[in-house]
Amino acid sequence: MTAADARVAAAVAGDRNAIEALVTELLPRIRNLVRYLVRGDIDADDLAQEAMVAIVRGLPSHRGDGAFTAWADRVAVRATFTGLRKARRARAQLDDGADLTSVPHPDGPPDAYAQRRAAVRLLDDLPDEQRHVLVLHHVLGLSVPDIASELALPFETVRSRLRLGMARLRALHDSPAVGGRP
Amino acid sequence: MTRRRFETDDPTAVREPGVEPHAGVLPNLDDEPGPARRLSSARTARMVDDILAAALAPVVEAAPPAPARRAPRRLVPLMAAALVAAALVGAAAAVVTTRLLAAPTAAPPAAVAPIDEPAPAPIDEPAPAPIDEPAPAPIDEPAQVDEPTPPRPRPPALDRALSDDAPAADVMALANQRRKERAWREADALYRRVAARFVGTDAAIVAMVASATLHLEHLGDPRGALTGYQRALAARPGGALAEEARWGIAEARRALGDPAAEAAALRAFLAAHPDAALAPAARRRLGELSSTP
Repeated sequence: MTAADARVAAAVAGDRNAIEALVTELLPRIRNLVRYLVRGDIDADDLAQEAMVAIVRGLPSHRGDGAFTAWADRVAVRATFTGLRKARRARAQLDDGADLTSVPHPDGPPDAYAQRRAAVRLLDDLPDEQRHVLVLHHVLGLSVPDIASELALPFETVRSRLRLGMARLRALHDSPAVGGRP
Repeated sequence: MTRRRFETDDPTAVREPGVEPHAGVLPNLDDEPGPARRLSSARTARMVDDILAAALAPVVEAAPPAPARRAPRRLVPLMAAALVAAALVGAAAAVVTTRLLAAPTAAPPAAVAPIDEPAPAPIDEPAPAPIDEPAPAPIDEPAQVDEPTPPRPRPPALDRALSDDAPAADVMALANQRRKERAWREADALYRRVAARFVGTDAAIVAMVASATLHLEHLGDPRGALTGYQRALAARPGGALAEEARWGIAEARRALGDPAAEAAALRAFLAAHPDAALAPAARRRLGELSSTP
């Protein structure tokens, strides 16, 4: 058993220090995942926090088969969709307007950070239903059958949304008007 | 780096043909920074604290099925209230609200204000008592003082929040701060100040629900809580906090020891919010009530 596996096992068993270490380690990943799924930074952070709470509360149900991060990703996706449904009823999504694409990230290559910020700004211009299947497929690597199951959608609907979403994303990416390639 | 599932041998995990993204446009989720905006290490540490406080606090399902008792702490509604407050009263107040509405949920019961203290003013008064009147302790001084101390100058932020033209976000932020400090009555007075001054606004609804929750969980006043939740619900029956208000009504009825009214409130909750996070708990509680002679 690796040190990471041991920490997960301790967290599942309720060890508070292990849970805290796990939350600290997972938080950046889950924040990134939620931001891919959600329009706007403010909503993303709120929903990422809810997703992390769902992960911690769901630890006892983690059976240990498969990668822990894959399980955590699934829990986060479900929590995020639940939060989005709730938020949608409450209000239109907010755009905080902050442009941080030019701010170098202190912990990583600035180019990668800027590139990913640019990517989600393209995603922000997609309809949610297309955005969600694109992120699940390309960012999380879920197969079409898995996405169909996760979102309770027909297989062909997922494929259609993937194709339409990618076509739209390509158009946005190549359009200088929306910040794509010149 | 995490492997993509379409790079595994799983035959069902094949990337859909014809939908290849431009290189780098949708990178696989990994440990590299972005696209979430960067956070300071201090802000990250606070976020971790908040998550642990919310996730590790007792949950409603664990509450014993007593006929009348103090209401269980309500994590999900509080987080939802914090989320909505984030949108409604501004980004600056949002961070405070998210933390501070969640923070007391992890507090030990011993910290709750004694119930034999003078009863708080009913929440349905025409207007909240000004916070600088004698009833609550002055909000810029400690609640209990053993010996005279020279008055401290108010910080500018406090003066702003107490001024007649203070925006709702400032007053809410101060209320949340007082709540964090477990100054329940002062926090309640500030929430009621928001509800009275900003009638008809989203901030007023958030404040009404927050005040009602204080009455239920910390001020030993389930009847005042019931009134507060009912007012919030009446103001926005389909609003963002309607779910929290309906759940609060059921909890207040339970705390008042009225099982018939509690059951009716739970049925109303389930009818309006069948997919809510607390719906399973509501169904379980209804089952308990129906099996109780």
